[in-house]
Amino acid sequence: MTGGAKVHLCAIVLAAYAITGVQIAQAQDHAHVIEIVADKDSRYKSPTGSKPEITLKAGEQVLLRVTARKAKTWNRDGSIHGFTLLRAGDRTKVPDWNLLLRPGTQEFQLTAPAEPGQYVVVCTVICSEDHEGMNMRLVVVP
Amino acid sequence: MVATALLAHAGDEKPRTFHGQIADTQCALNIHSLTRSHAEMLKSKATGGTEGSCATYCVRYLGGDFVLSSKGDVYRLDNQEKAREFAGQKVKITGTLEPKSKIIHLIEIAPAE
Repeated sequence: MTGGAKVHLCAIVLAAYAITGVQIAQAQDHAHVIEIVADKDSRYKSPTGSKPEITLKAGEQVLLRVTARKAKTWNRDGSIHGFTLLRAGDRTKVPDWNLLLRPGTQEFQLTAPAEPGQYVVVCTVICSEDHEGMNMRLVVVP
Repeated sequence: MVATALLAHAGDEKPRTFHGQIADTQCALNIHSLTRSHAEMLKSKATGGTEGSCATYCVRYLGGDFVLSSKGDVYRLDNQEKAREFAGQKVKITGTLEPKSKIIHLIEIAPAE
């Protein structure tokens, strides 16, 4: 490959990255932002400290921003809480909503389930003796 | 092309034998030993009274997956239905390992001798 061709190829690759970056930024702009605290007392909370209940539109883009605080125990890989979405009826998992949380704030770009109904978020890391109570409701509306 | 390359790579792994216990991700991945994690979960009563019922409960109701816990290593299993039959039991597994993801592609699973 000649020097000119390499420069050309680099320019194309950089342009592709730039376009992708703009698309991601646009997606974030339009996403429904959900903020949750996965707290040290093994409870999900809203940023104000109350028990959260999330309502999403079916299929909408979601930017989930979670702040995780370490409870009493955690996983060997450093995950301190989980955030896994289950269908309330049969407790089956929703694909792509099986998240492990590290200490601090992290963001996830997700798509709300296509099927309206009742869902439940559960923690999948044994974070304390109150781990089993770490859950919250999530509702998907048409 | 990438997918084909990955499949070809996975196919390169030769079948191996693994020994351990069929557990759930929640108990097996915790910083505690598997025995201690199960013991803590069993306090809640809802999980039943055995390691097998604990693993089954954590997978069925709490979002976990069945895994093989083997001498401090935890391997994910591609065939959850097969693993379910041996929940809480010590087993011998023949399968191929994806080293990076630590997923075992199950060929055969049997109770440990």
